[in-house]
Amino acid sequence: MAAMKALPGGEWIDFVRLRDIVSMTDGNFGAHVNTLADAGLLHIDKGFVGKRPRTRISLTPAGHIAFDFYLTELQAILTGFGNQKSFIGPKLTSS
Amino acid sequence: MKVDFEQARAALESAAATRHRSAQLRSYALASPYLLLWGAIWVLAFGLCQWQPERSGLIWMVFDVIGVALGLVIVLRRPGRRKSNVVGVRYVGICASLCLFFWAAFFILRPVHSEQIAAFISLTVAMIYLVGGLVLGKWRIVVTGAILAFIMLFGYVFFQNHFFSWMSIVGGGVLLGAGFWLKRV
Repeated sequence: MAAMKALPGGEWIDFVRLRDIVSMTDGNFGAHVNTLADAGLLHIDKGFVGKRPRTRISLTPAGHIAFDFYLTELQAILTGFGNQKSFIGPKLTSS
Repeated sequence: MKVDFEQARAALESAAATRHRSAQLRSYALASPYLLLWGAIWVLAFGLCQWQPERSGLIWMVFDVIGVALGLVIVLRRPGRRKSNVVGVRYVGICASLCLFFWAAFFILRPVHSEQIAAFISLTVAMIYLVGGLVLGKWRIVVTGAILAFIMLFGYVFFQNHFFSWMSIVGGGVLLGAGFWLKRV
């Protein structure tokens, strides 16, 4: 999510490139991406370039909001306003 | 899920580092096609200049127009169309400024032979990469500029009779290599 926040809104990034940026294995990264996509935080676009399959990912508007909320919560913990609190995150729907 | 102070700090630092790395790699990926384009142009144009040195001015004029036009195509095909148009205007502005700068520089310096012109332009390009990379904090661009400046000076001192061939193979090769390097994560 942090890697994708560096991209301008709506910009796509290749699955392989993002996996390499976060230095994860295929399976582990794929599981994370699917979880985030199921929660409506990521868009996944599967297509072809010529005959080669290509999977692209982009952050949804809900993903942007959720990640900003997550960072705000963490900062609140550091500044003492949210110290030791339970992190629940925003309520999100995938619709 | 309970998150304590240390975990929150570690998570924020990790998020900031990942975001910085992602932004850095994105800017490299955007710069890569230009280096590949100009690397190919250096290989072809300097190669032709070695073969037809008396027509080097004409050769470079043609290849510069091709390079600027193809560069503009790359700019306009970038993701984010509205922003691409702004960058496109900037790109044309940069190219026009460079043309004026080189015209003014040669008007003042009055170079005697075409190798001097080629060396001066190559050195200026290398300096733009070096200084631009330092200003923007893009160390791969800094390294590219430093290598380009070094090989240009080396070729000018030791291979002046074959300077165009040197710049075609080594100079163009450095730009192409840098283009592929910037694409890598």
